Amino acid sequence: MRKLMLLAGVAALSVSLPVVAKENQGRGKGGGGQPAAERSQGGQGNAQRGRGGGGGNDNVQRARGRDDSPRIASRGGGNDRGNQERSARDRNDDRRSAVRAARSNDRVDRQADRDERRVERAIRDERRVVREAREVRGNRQDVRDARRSESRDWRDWSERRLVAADRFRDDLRVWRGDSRPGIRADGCPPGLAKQNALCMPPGQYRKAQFIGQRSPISSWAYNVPDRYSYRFVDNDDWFYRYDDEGYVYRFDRDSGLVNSIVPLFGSDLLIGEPLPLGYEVYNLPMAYRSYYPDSSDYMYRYDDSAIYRVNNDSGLIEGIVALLTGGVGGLGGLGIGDTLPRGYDAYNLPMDYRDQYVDSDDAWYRYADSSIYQVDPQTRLIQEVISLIL
Amino acid sequence: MSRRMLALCLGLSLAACGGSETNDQATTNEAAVNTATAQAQSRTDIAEALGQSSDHSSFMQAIETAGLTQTLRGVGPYTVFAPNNAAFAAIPAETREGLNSVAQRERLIALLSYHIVPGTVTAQDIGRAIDSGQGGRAELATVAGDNITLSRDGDALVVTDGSGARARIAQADQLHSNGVVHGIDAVLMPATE
Repeated sequence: MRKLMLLAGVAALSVSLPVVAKENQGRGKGGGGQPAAERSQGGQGNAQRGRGGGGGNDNVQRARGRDDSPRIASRGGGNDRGNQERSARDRNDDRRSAVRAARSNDRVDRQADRDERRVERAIRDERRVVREAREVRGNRQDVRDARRSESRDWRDWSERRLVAADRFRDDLRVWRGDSRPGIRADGCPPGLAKQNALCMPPGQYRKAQFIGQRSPISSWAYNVPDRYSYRFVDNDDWFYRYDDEGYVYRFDRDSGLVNSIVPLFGSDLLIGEPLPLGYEVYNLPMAYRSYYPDSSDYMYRYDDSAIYRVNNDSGLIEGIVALLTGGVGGLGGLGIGDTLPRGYDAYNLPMDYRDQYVDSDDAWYRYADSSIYQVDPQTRLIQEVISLIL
Repeated sequence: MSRRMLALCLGLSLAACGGSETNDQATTNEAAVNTATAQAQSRTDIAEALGQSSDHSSFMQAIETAGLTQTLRGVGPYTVFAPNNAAFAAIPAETREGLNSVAQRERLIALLSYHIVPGTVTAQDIGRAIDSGQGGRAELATVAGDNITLSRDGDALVVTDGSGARARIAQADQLHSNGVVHGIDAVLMPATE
C-alpha cells in the first residue's frame, strides 16, 4: 500500500511539474522554480536583453547588466556626474532588484505551495481512484456472485437429479438363450432370490418380462400420473409410460423397446402417502431405536437414509424425523480399517462429547449417525467406532 | 460405570444409565445427567429457533412443506446452513413455487438436505479445518450425500455449492439444543449429475 501511494505521488509530480514549467514560461518575468544562483550564471546575451528592458528576464539578469558596466562606461565617456548618476541609478537598480528578488522568492514559495497542493491533490485523487476501483471490483465480485446464483439452472438441476435418482435398474438385460429377461442377482435377499432370477417381487417380475419387448401399452401418449410425473421426464434417450397397474416403463427412444421398469408404489416412502407394502416390520438402525420406538400414536420406518414417522390413525407418512448419512458418501456402514470419506475435514462432535474426544496429532474424532469415529490423521483410516447406543 | 458410558449418558441425557457402580456414584451420575439435561432443555431446538426468526421464514416454510420439521426438532445433532429470505427470493419464482408444491416434495427434500450436515460444526471448527487443510478449503458432507466446500473470503466464511455458486455465512454459531445454525445469504444447489 505504501509503495502504491509513493508511486501515485511520483506519478502525480511527473504530471504536474511540466505544467508548472510551462506556466512560468508564459509569465515572462518569473524565475520559475530555479534557484537564484543558477539563474545568475546566464550568458551575456541575457545581459544585453536586460539593458534593453526586455520583459522576458528577471532582476538577476539586470544585475548582470551592472556587471557589464565597465563596458558601458567606456562607451558613454568619463563624465563624473554621469558616473554619480549612474551610481545612484545602479543603487536604485539594486534596491529594485532586491525587491524583485524578494517578490520572486515569494512567487517561488507560492509556486512551491501550489505544487505541494497539486501533489497532495494527486495523491488524494489516486487514493480515491484506488478506493473506487476496489469498490467497483468488490461490487463486480458481488454482481458476479449474484449473477452466478441467479443464472443457475434450477430446472436443469431438478430434472437431472431426479432422473438420476429414479429407481430404474440399468442392469436389466434381455436374457439371451431364454425367452425371459434376466440379471445377476448379486446381493439379493434370500427370500427374493428363491422367487426368481431377477431378485424381484413376483408382480414386478411378471412385468419385467416385457423388457426388450415391444410396448404392452396401447397408447403412446404421456400418461404417467401427475403425482409422479416430475420423476419421469421424457428426454432424448428415454420416454416413460404408465400401464395403469402401478408400473412405469422406460422405453429406448431409438428402438422403441422396453428398457426397464419400475413400480410406482412400494418403491420408496413418500410423505403424505400410505406406508407401502414391505414396511410392516420395524427397521430402524439400532442407534435410533431408543429415540423412535413404535407407539400407539406413531410408527417409525427407515428408508434411504431417512427415518419416517407414520401416523397410526391416518396410516399416512407424516414426515421425516431424522436424516442419516447412510452408506453412500457417508459413514454409515464404514468400520475399522475403512478410509474416512471426503467431507469430514471439520471437527463436528456434539457439544456434550467435546471435552472427552479432542482432535490431536495422533487421532481425529468425527461424528455421524450417532457414532463417533476415531481416525488416524495421517492415513485417514478409521481406528475405532464408538457407538452412542445405550 | 466407565468414563465413556458416563459421557454417553450425559450426552444423550438419558437417565437409564444403570450399572454396577455404588449408590454414591449413581447419585453423582444422576445429578450430572440432570444438570446436562437441564442445560439442554434451557435452549431451544433448531426448528423452534428458526421458526422464531423473521429472516428465515421462507426456509422454515420449505422445511415444513418438505416434512422435515420433526428432523430439526429431533435428537440430531445437525449443522444447518439456513438461507435467509432474500436468498429464497433470488430463486426464479416458477422454480420456487414448483418446489413448494406437494408434487415436487422429493425434490425439495433433496434441496433442503443439502443444507444440513451431520454433527455440530461451529465456525471455529470450520476455520480450523480450512487453515489446516490443503488449498485453504474444507469439505463438509451433507445428509443429502453431496459435499459443500468452505473457504475464507477476508474475515467471512464462504460456502461453495455443487454448482460453484457461493454463499456467505452472515450469522454464525447459533447454538441450539440439537445442533447449530449458520445463516447464509444464498440457497445452495447440489451439483447436477
